Amino acid sequence: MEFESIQDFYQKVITNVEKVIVGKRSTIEMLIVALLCEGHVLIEDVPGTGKTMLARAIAKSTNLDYKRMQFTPDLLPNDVTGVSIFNQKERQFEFRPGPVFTNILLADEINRATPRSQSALLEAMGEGQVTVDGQTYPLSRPFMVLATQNPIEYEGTFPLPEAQMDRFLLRVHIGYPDFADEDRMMQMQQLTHPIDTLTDVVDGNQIPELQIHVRQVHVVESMRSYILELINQTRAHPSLELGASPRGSLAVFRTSQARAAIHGRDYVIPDDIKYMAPACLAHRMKMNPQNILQGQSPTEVIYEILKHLKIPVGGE
Amino acid sequence: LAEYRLNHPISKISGRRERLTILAALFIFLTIAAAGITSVLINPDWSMLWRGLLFGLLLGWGLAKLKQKGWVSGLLIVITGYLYTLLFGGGLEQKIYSLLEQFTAGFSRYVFFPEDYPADISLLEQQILELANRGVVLSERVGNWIWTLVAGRAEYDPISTALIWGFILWLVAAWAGWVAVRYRNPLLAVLPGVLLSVSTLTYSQSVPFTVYLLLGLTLLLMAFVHYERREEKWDEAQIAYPSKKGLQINSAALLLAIGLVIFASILSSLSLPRILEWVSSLRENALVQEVNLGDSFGIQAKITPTPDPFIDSRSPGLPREMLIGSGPELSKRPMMTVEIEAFPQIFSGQAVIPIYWKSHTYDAYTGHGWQTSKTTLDEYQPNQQFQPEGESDHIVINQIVRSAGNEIRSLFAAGDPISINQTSTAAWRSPGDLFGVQINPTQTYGAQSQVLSPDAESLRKTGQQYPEWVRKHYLPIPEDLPGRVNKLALQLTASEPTPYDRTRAVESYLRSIPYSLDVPHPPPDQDLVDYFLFDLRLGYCDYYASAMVILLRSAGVPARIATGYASGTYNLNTKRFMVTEADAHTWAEVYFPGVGWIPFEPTGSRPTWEPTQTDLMSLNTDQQPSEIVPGQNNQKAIAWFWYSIIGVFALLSVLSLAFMVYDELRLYSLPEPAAAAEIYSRLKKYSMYLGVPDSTGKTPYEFAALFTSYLLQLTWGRGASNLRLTTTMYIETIIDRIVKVSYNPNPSQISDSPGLYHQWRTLRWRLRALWLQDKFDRWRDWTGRVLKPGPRRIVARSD
Repeated sequence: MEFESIQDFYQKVITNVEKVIVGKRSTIEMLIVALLCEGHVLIEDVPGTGKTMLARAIAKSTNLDYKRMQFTPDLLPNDVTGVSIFNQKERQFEFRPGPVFTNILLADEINRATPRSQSALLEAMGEGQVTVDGQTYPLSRPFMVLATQNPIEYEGTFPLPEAQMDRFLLRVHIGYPDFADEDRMMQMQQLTHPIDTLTDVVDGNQIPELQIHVRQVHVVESMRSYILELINQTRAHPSLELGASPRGSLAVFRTSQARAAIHGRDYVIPDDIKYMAPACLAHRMKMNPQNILQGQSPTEVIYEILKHLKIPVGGE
Repeated sequence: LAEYRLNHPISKISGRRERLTILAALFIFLTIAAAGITSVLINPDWSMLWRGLLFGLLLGWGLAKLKQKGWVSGLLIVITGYLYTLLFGGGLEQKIYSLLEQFTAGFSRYVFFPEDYPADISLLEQQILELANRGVVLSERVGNWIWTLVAGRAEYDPISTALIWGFILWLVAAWAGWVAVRYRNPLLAVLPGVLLSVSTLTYSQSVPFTVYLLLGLTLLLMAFVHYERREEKWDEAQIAYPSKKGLQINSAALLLAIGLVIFASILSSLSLPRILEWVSSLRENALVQEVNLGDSFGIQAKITPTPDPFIDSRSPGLPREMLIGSGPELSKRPMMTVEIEAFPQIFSGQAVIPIYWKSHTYDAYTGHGWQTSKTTLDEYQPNQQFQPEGESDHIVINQIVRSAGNEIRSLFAAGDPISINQTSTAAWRSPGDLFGVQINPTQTYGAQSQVLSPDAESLRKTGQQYPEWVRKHYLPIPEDLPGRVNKLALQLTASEPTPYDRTRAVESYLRSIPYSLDVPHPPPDQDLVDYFLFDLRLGYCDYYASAMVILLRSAGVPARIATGYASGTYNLNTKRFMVTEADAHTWAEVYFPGVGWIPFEPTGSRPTWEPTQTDLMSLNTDQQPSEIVPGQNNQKAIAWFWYSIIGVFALLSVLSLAFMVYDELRLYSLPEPAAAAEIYSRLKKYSMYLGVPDSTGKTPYEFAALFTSYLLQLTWGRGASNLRLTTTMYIETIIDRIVKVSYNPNPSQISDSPGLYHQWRTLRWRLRALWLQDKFDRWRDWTGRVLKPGPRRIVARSD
């Protein structure tokens, strides 16, 4: 069965990545879900929590091409997409592909670049292709952007507008490891970094095929209405200025499918939706200013809605 | 801000206080609404209504708090309201108390003197039967009243009215409590109360002062409930708020409401038509001229044998002195003799009603005595008929009255006079409603009169369709009549099915009060009947008759006072009645539609007319229990009582068994997805019984995890752990299947475990056993804590 192969893929990758990233199973799971859904992930966290290492470990485990880009204010769009250079020898323009031509792109501190450069990347993410000088170049598949953002430092940054945030399938936080995990991490890295010895466990080329299989996971009518009810409640919630977009409901739908598949099921259960909804929706919503001042976050709102939302069980 | 939140934890106590305020405000609101309504009702039983409001409100409130379904609450409210009004409004309260008393007494006797067993419980059963019987009679009575109402005939029945109002107010109160909690909508909660009081007040055109108060309270309630709802939202969103804020807002709302009420009442009281109305009402009052007559309780009128000069001036032509110079000294001095034709016929025939020589009747009670309303005077020639002979059963009596000394100034005749052989002046309150007949002072006259002779059965069938003149004159009671009189009247008559039975009930009650001529003057500021019934409990005919008339009127039975002489002693030799001063008498007459006025004798020292055999049963019910002789009837009643109890139990168990079978079959035949929904909701219910916290937003798996972890935490005696483990296992498998059935569209993959119904059956009894064990454990724990002095036992709630 194809769903078993997805589960198998997931098990292998996560065991492998966990050799490097200790105690962050749910974050790794989110990234694998995004990879299977052809989505992009915004990782929001303070420096040093292992964002780069996570991206590299996943790329290495799946034998995918990996590039890292540091976003700075003087970054130009062409630095992202690539540039056409006139070849003196052959007397014609020759395209030099930018870092976006890869499988897994780590866009570090995306909010430090100017909106122009940001939108160049976000366009590439949305379209799956890049147009330079009227020439269109398709990106390789699979293609996943892991953009990072530092939530503490806002000095001299260009925060992503809502419309751009909406393009990310998920927003995840890594967070600090707990006491025991951090201790284990120090021991592991005493002599060598484990990433150096990490080998690939699956073939990254099968991912497009798995992506097609994920779409075939069943979502029964009651589960679809559960998602819609959830989305509707975010739109009507008093502390939210802006609820989740239709792209948000699609994201919950798709990621729940992927999560069901990686757990070996060909049907979505409420647990999948409850698990994926905060990561899918929180960055698409905007709080009322007074609620922001009260320290309430969109994630809390979603948890609150989920806490009271009745889950449909059984049929007629 | 975060610091502020830390330092000011949200107080739950303030929320509870708000709720209590709302409850209190609702209660005050209902009380005012009820006060408004009862101010225009005739004889309201205020304490019953008030208690009903309180209980109803609390019931509605509690049911809503318990999250009962709407129809369940409605049914409960209606049933309890019905029982409440029946028991407390129908005067069965005392009966229940005495029953309880007797029951506990009998029980303790059985406990302490078991050798007496089997004890004689026939009395108890008799009382239970009687209680049930009275309940049925009351229900029938209300039913009849509603039926006549629907049929479009007006019929005033104070008991039915009291019951209906009690029931309506109960419903209004319960609704208010229920809606205030369930829908948090103060307007909707008070709406029925407002509508009811406004419509009642409008109908009776009363001063709508209470409406202003209701308005103010509604405003206040809206403020309270609104604030409470907001506070709840804040709690939910974990927004900090100072706990004193509620007090401030609510007191501001209170001030605002008071201001608005004052403003509204001032505005509307400035209306011109109201002032005009008031002026015209003053004029009307001045025009009403009532003839102050009579027998004003005895004391003054009878002591002074001289005519009252006021009376002569107010009603010329009628003598003030209707009892030929009699007084309370009541000597054996002969006053007059009466010779009648065909005497034996009266006593040997069907007429059993005693003969009174009646002179005057009175309709208006002043609180201290009796007078008549305005009368019109008609001159009659000798032998001219005052009124035609009646159509109902009656006997015509020709009598010759001879004075034994003084001149006779008014007509004395048995029953209703038809004609007299002298020129006379009759005073009529209205056509057919005779006050009395005055004749020129004479030593002797002959008169024809009629005595009604109906039997009890026909009196029972007369109904309550009283003509206008009867309702106008013979039902009113003073507005300031103390409530306890009214309550006594309702208690005595509530469960009597017909006016005749009610009359008999009042009569037999009064006949048990001892007779005495030596009684003190009634205090001037107290109602005479109230004084007699509750303080004095001694008296002579005037007191008895007045009490009977007022009690009957309170119970909705038209009645009047009649004065004259009792029949006296019959002398076989002279064939004449010898009437002495001591025979001067006052008695009560009751109006029966289509029959007329029937005399009743509330004075115990004089015989009343014998009821027929069928009456005896209804009369006996009010007698002392010691007079009931256990006999065959009782044996039958006891058997019937036990059979009915067993029958009810059997019926209930059959019904519940049938329901269980039906439920099983339904569950069995349901398709799996539907069964999954049903079983899942039942499982949740069981978890709630076992104390698992609310799990609305939990997915089935999360719920299973919560449930099982909770079960494993419980501490129970040895032997239970195995049951717990298997139960958690079963819960996990059944939840697994429920999830598969609910969300997997490919049924082919599901059928690897037994069906949901079978799994549920094995799980269910385990859950029940766990529940029982939990309850037992808690109970043991509680008793251990209560019975063992010293430090509280600490209960470990983990393995």
